[in-house]
Amino acid sequence: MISKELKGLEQKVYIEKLNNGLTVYLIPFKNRKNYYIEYITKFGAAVNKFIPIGKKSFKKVPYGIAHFLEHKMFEQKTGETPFEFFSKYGSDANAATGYKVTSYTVEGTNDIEKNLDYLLTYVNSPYFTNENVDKEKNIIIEEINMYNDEPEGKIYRESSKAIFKYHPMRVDIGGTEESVNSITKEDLYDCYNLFYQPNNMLLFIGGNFDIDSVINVIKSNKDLNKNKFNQQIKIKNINEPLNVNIPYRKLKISGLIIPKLILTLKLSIKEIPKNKLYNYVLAVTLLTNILYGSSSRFREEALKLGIMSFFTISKAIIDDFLLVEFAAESKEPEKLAAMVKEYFLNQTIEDLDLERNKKSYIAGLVLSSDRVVSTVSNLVDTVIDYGDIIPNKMDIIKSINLKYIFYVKDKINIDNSSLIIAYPKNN
Amino acid sequence: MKYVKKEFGSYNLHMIHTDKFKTITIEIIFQNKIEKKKITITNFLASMLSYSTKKFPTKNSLMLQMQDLYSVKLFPSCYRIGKCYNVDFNMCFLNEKYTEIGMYEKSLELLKNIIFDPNVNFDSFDETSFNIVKNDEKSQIERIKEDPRKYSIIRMLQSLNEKEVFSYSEYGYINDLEKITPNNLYQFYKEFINNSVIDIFIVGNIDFKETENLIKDKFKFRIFKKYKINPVLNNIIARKKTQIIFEKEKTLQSKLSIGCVINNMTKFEREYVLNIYNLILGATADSKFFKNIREKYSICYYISSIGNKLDNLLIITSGINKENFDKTFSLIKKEMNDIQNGIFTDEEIENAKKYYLSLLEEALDNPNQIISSYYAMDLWEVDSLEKRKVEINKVTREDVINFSKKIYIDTVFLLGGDNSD
Repeated sequence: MISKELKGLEQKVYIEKLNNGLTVYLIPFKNRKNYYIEYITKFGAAVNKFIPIGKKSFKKVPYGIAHFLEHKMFEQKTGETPFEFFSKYGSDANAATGYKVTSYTVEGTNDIEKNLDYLLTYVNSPYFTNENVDKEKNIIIEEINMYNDEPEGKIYRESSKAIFKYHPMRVDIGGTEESVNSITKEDLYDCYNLFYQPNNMLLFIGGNFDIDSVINVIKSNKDLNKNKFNQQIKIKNINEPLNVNIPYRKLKISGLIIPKLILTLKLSIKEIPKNKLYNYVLAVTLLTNILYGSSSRFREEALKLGIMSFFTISKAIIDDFLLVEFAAESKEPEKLAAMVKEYFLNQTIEDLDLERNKKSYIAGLVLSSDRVVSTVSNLVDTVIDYGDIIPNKMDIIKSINLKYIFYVKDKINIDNSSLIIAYPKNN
Repeated sequence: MKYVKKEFGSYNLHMIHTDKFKTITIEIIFQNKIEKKKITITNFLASMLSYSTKKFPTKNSLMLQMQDLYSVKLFPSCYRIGKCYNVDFNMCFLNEKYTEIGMYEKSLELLKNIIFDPNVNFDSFDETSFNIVKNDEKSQIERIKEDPRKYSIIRMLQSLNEKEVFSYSEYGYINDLEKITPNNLYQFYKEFINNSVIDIFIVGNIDFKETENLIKDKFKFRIFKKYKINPVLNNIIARKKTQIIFEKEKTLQSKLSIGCVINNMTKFEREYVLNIYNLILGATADSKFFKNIREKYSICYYISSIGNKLDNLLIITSGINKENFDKTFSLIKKEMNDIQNGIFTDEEIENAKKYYLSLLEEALDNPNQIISSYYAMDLWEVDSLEKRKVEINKVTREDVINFSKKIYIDTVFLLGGDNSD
C-alpha cells in the first residue's frame, strides 16, 4: 500500500492495487461519525460498441444499457434486495449512471465492515432473468418520462445532439423508450462480464473507518475474488469530428416559461500530454471564471441590462474533447449569447483578476475537503478524468500564470461552439 | 462539542465549539409570524441585502470582496417553518488557520455590512440594484411551473385548504411584487430589523470569548423582544370524502400528489412515531411503497411519502402513467390500511429506528444540520440529540398502529399526463 498526502488539505490517501486488478483508495477522516463508499466501474452510457468476452467481433448494444444494468444489479438470487440488507444497518444505498462511469454507493455510521462486504458481494453477483428484465422496463420508461417532463432536460438533449455527430452522448443516459424495450438479459450479461471485471473497477472509502479492517474485508470477500475474467477491454472507437454538429438551433418547448440557452465550446485536448491535462483544464476554468464568474464585468453588465436571471458554467472531459458549457436563463437569449462571445474576444485580463480567482479556487478546494462525501467525489472525478489522484493541486494552481492563460485562450476557437436557444411554446 | 447560549435581550447568541471542521459557519435567523402578503417583500429584501451594500454598491464589488476574503460563501434563504416565515443569512468561511490572521473579524464585518448597511440613499434602496433583483424575483416566481413535480404539490396544498398557511407559495406572488418600490422596501427593512425574533448561531473551532466580543461589537440589534412563536399549526379537520382533482397539463407523465391530514398528534407522536411510520410507509428504498408498488407492479419510478410534523400533514408523491391512476391510488390505500391493521413486521420498526439513529449521527458531521438541530431544540422544545436517541427506541408497534388511524386522505391531485410534443 502506498500513501499520498494531499498538500494543503491535511488529508492522506492510501492506495492499494489488489492482485485481482481492483484499485482501492482509502481516505480516513478524524473526528467523523459517517463513512461513504463508492464502488465504480469505468462503464457508462458513452459505450455502446465493444467485443464481448469469448467473441471476436464488435457488438452494438441498445442505448441506455449501462443504466439498465445499474437498476438490475439490485436484483439478487437470494431474494433479499440490497436495500433490505442496508436498511438493517440504518445505512443508505444508492447507485448512479453517468456517461463515463456507473457507481454504487453506501453511506452510513455503523458496521462499515458488514456494509462494505455486502456491497462487494451484491455488485459481484449478477442475477438477470427474462422476467426480472421485463419487469424493470416500465420503471425505467417512467424514469425517462420524468426527466422528459423537465423542460431543461429537453434543452440539454438538443444541445448534446448539436455538439456531437456520432458520439453516444447524443442520446440520454437512460436511452429511449424503444431502446429500453429492446434490452435482453444476454445484452446485460455481455456488458457485465466485460466491464465489471475487477481491473476495470475502483473502490473509494472515505470517513470513519479502520484501514486494516476494511482492507481485510476487501481481500477476503469471496464474491469479489471469484471473478475469473481479466480480459482486455476493446471498445469501438468513435470517429467524432472536432467540428460541432450543429452550430445554431432555435426551438420551442412546451412547459417552458422563461427562455433558456446553452452555448457549448468543443475544444480538442488530443494534442495535450496526459501529465499536462490538469493544468490545461484548470487554466480554462480560471479563464472562464475570470471572464464570466460571479465577480466578472460580464455578469454585472448582463444583470444591468436585465437580460439574465440565471447563469452557470461547467466543464466535462469527453474522450478527446473538453466541453465548456454556458447555460443561462434569459429574456433575450440571442443578445446574451452574443455577449458571451464578445467578452471572450474583447475583455482584458489582468494579473490581479487571475490572482484573486486562484485564491478563491484554492479556498474552494479546502472548503470541499471538509466533507466526507465531497472529498470522495472530487477524488473519483480526478481519477476518472486524469487517471490518478493529483496530490499537489495547490502547487499547480499557484504555478498558473497569465502567460499560460493567454496561451490557452489564444488556442480556443470560440466559433467551434453550438448554441441552443429555447423559447416557450404557446398552446 | 460544546454549546453555549447567551441571551442579550434583543437577540440570542448560540455558540457551538467543535474541532471537526476547517470552516466556521455563522447563521443569522430572523423569525416572523407568516403573513401571506409579506412573503414576496420578505424574499425581495433578503435578495436585496445580499445583492449589494452601501460599501459594496454593485454585485461585482461585493463578489470581489467575498473572493478577497478567501471565497466567503453567503447563502440567504427564506422559508416557511410551520406558522413562521424565516430569513436566514448563512455564511461559511475558512478558519484563519487555513488563511490569514484577521479573516474571522473581516468576514463577520462583511456580514454586518450586508445586514446593517444596505445600499440605501434618501430612504430608498439603490434603483439599479432594485431593478436587477426585481427581475430575478419575477423569474423565480414564474419558473415554478417549469417543475411539474413541485407544482403538483403546490396545487394540491392549495386545494386541500387555501386558508391554511401551508397553501402559501414560498416563491411569492407577482401581484405583490408589482407593489414593491425602493422606498417601501426600505420601510419594510426597518420594520423587519426591529421586529424579527433574532438568533445567531456560530459553529466551528472558535473561542467563545473572542466570538462573543466580535458579535456584540458588530451586531447591534436594539429592540428588546420577549416573545417566541410556536411554529406548530392548529389541527384541521379532514374532509369526510376525499376530493380528487385532475388538472390538464401537456406532460408525458402524471404527477400525483396526495395530501393526508393527521389529527391530534401527541408530542411523542409528532417527534417520533411520525418518523417511524413515514420510514416504514414510503421514505426509503426499503419502504412499503417502494417494495410493493414500484418493485412488484412496476408502475412508477419514484413514489415516496414525507411527514410534515409542524403542518400536521403527510404528503405522498409519485409520477405515473395517467391510465394507472386508479390502480396506484388503490395500492397506496392498501399499504396505508395494512399498517392500520398491523400488517408489518417488528423488523420493519427496528430498521426504521436504526435509519433514524444513523441520520442523527450524521447530522453531527454537518455544521448546518448542527445549527438546525439546536435551533429546533430552542424554538419548539424538541428533545436534545441524546434524549432523541433514547426516545426513538420507545416507539412500539401499538404506537405505530394507533398513529396510523389518525391519518386521513384529504386531497388527491393529479397533474398532467396529457402528452407532450
